[in-house]
Amino acid sequence: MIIFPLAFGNNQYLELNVSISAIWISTLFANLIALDHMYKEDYDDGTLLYYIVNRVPLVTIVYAKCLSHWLFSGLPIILIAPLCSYIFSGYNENNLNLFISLTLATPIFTLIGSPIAALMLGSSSRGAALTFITLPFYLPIIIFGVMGTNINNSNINAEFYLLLAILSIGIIFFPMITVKILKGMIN
Amino acid sequence: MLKKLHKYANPNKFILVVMPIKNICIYAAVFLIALGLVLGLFFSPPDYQQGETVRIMYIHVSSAWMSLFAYVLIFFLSVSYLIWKFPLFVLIAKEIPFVAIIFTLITLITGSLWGKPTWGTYWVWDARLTSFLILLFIYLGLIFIDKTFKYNANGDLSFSYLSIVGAINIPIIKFSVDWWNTLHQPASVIRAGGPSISVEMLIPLMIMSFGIFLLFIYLVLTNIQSAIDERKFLFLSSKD
Repeated sequence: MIIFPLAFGNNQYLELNVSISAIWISTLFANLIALDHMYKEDYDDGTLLYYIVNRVPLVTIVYAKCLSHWLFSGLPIILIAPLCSYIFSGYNENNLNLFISLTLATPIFTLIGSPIAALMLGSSSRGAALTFITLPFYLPIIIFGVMGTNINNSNINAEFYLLLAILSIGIIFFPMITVKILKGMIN
Repeated sequence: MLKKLHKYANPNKFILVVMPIKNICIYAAVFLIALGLVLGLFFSPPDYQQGETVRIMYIHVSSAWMSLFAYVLIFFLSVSYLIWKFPLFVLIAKEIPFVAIIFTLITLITGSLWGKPTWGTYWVWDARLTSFLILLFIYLGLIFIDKTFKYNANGDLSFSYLSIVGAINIPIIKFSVDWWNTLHQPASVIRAGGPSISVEMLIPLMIMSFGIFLLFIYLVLTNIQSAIDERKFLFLSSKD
């Protein structure tokens, strides 16, 4: 995040829109970098197989993985985003919007990423391919999140309701898919 | 051993059945596309608002329909593969994105060429265009996942799940012109209450769409044939 103001050179403050985009892109990268290791190590050393053989409920494992991934890649960004927004643009009127939309969007990123990270378990090349496949599914969330953040009045608006709807469907639906995929990958 | 032979028996039969269809398809496709182009470019009336540029529609709309239909096809093939575990389904589904991505690119390029004279810009970030760009990225992702899982049984599963998750984009593309305010014009052919497009334009459009559909079938069948040959070769060489 600190790179963005430096990259823009001699301007004292960034435009508000640019600073919002910078925060969202940083969120995205933080998420994608951590996503690669979500199930990778457990799959490689056989822990996942061990869970399945011992009939540990996989849903619990998946929820725990998602929660820890969110705690490490989502929560820090939510906490420092208002500060960063002020540092970037010298403007803190829309902090509430930024906070709410990031709070709604980062769990969705994690939840969407988890089945895709599970899908890529058996493949030989990783990293770049995972990023490439995950990005189109993140795009709608980013679009609505940025739209929600850019709103000038501080009312809670339609974009937040939409993100909330996606989150409440996704929190049930995506771990379910992940469990199905993990079972398919192991067997 | 017997089980593996059994696995390849059905694609062979499939290829024997579809080979004549392939040849019919290419000739009919060339004929229909030529007929549609002649009708569309010389005999159809210009639009009262857009003038002569409306003729881009005959390529733009038909390839857009084709790329959407291709995704629906991938979706149903993947669902069938997950239900019945029949490898031919995913073998076909995996070859479709290579062809469909070309039609998606044609749609985007002709659409931006059409947008310059009518809207004054090559590209706007509105709902229909963005969701179609996402379709292009999803096709790229499907091709990527096919390439990274080369000859791995997990690849079939990953491909099917990914295509099912990506299918949520299709209704968004279809209804994006109704749900959001966009520069793109609303649906004028497939809509409740019958087509609002005039008959002189509808006939060349239908001929072009059918021709492009047959061309798509031909290209996909060619790809499937080479994919089956490739897998046969791999199977034989792994036996030694």
